[in-house]
Amino acid sequence: MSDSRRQLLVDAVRTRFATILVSGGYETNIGAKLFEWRVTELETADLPALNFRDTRNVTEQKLSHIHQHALEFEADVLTAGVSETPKQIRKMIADVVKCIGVDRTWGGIAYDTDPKEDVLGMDQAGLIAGGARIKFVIKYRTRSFNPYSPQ
Amino acid sequence: MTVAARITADLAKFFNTGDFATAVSYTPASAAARSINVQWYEPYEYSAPAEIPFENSGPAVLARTSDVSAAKQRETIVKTAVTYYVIAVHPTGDGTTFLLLSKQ
Repeated sequence: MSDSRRQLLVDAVRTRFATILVSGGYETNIGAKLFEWRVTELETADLPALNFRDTRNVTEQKLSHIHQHALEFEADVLTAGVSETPKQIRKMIADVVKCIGVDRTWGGIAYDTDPKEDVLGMDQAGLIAGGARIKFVIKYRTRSFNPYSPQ
Repeated sequence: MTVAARITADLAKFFNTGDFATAVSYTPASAAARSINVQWYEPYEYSAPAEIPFENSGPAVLARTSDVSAAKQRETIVKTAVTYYVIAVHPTGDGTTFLLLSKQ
């Protein structure tokens, strides 16, 4: 059974994000604690973590036989109990942005990727926790009403 | 006498280490460390930096206000060799004060 183009894109994002390791030339190892659509709270043992999800997809009809999609992603990065937490979060944001830019077509499945916004936040209770949500949009095309078929 | 009044009058019993309390080392901002008895709490605490849910903890102590009358943020409490920093001071108005703590 084949996967939709959207599923192929999510798989490509997961595979790419898993490469965010210091040994791979990045500043952090958030690719080692990678989650897709994790909805439960992250625990200390999960950190530093990267949790990503595909959220909204906007489709436009182009010509008579093409659907052009803008699939929105959110990548959450989180750490706690470390020193210089905001600095660490900024490194994680930079790593995610760098990783997205490795190939904006995700192996030819999409025709481009656009950046959106990122938001950084901090909280303190038993531990200082810092996180950021990075948003980006992958643009791809399929045949009209055929999510499995490339344009 | 109301129950609340009796509890307030008998506050010392709530800070007996044999009953509800534990001894910790409290270091005020401008004085030497000293041992005080507190009721120790460490409940689950929800954190959500950038709206990302994280299972934090919320360590806190309930102390006699007379023991921590001038408590300030960044003072320290040591329990079983772990140092906690005061991040908030909340007097209850009945002779006790909550100190909210952080390991950082």
